[in-house]
Amino acid sequence: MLPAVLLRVLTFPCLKEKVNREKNNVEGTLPFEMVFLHNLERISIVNEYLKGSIPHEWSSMTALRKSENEVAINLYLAPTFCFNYSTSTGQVMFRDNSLTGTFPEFLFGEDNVLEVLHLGENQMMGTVMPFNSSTLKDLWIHDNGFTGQIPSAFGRLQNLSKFPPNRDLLAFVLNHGRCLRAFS
Amino acid sequence: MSLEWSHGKLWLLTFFPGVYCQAYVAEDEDQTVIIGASAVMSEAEIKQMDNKRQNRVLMSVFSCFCLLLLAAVLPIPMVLPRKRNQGSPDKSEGPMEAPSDAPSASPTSVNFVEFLDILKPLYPSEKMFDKAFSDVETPQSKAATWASTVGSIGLAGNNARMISRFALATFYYSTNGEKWAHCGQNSANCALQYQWLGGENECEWLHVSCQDPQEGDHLVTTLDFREL
Repeated sequence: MLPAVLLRVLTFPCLKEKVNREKNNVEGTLPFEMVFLHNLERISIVNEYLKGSIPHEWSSMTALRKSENEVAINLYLAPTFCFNYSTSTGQVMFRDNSLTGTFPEFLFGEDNVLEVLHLGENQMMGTVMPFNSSTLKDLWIHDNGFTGQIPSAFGRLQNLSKFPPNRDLLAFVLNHGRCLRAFS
Repeated sequence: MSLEWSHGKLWLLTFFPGVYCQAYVAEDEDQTVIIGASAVMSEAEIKQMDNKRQNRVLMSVFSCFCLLLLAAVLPIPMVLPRKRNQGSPDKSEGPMEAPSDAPSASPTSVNFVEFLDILKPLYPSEKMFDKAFSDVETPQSKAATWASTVGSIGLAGNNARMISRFALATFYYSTNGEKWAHCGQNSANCALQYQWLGGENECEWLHVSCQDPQEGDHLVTTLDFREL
């Protein structure tokens, strides 16, 4: 018989949402021009048909810098209640699309304040390059075409607490309405 | 004026044709004295005068009749609209208590070419700009067309907001917005205010959130397509 905690994992509502959610037919590429939205903190386009790569110029998005706001990039599909982030936290959620290109380490510039980066279930390729971040908490890169090893520098990401290596491993359990890391 | 003597009467031909003055004169040895005068008219002239008088009376009567008729007819169209409005509760009978919120939209939108001049310095390179607007069918061209015409009504001079709306429109056209299931432009299943490129306020478009929308700054902070 499965332990109670695992049963709760199997009925994880954050995963259920993926099944029930209706697509909006968002299909195409992410334009560079989003950098003109200087106050954009969160962008969540999940389980859609995005393709192409994340524009390199997005590294200059001012709301993703340290200047004013605490921001995260979150490429992930899950209802907001699964995370205990403040409302000012920026998120970019692109999980379960068809994004290509390489790992966007350029988003982790010197003064980045990213808290969440979810790139799960896309078609990204190449190796994951090391980067530094004192703010990153969530990093989902599972189910892509990345090759090589996980950079050892990830061990120095002091706030990284959620890092599922692939979709076959359950990463979270639901505990009193909060999503906590169970496995990695 | 001319003078004419005739049997003790002096005819004065006056300034007015057809009207004569008859002067009665008395003569003694030394002098002639005018002892009376009267206007003299012929029968034809008298008839003519009578006709004119009759015409004047007729004209007066006719004018009075017309005035009475106008007085009776004019109030009707002023009353009828009120009666029509009584059936529709959403229409007020009296004048509006306050003027409309904002002045009417600027009659001229921003010129497309001028708008491109605003955008050009924002691109990292001229090559990138040229590529973005190389064709009228690129998402950027479509977005700039919208943002400089329909999308700029009432926003002339507010470049920051126009650029922000251009960015959203570029995203819309880059991601097949015309075929979105929810709240694309002219979407049948979405109220106008929530439609992308349709509603006047981009902060009300579906999936778009702004910072302090009440402030009027329209600073887009969130695009969340998980919310339906």
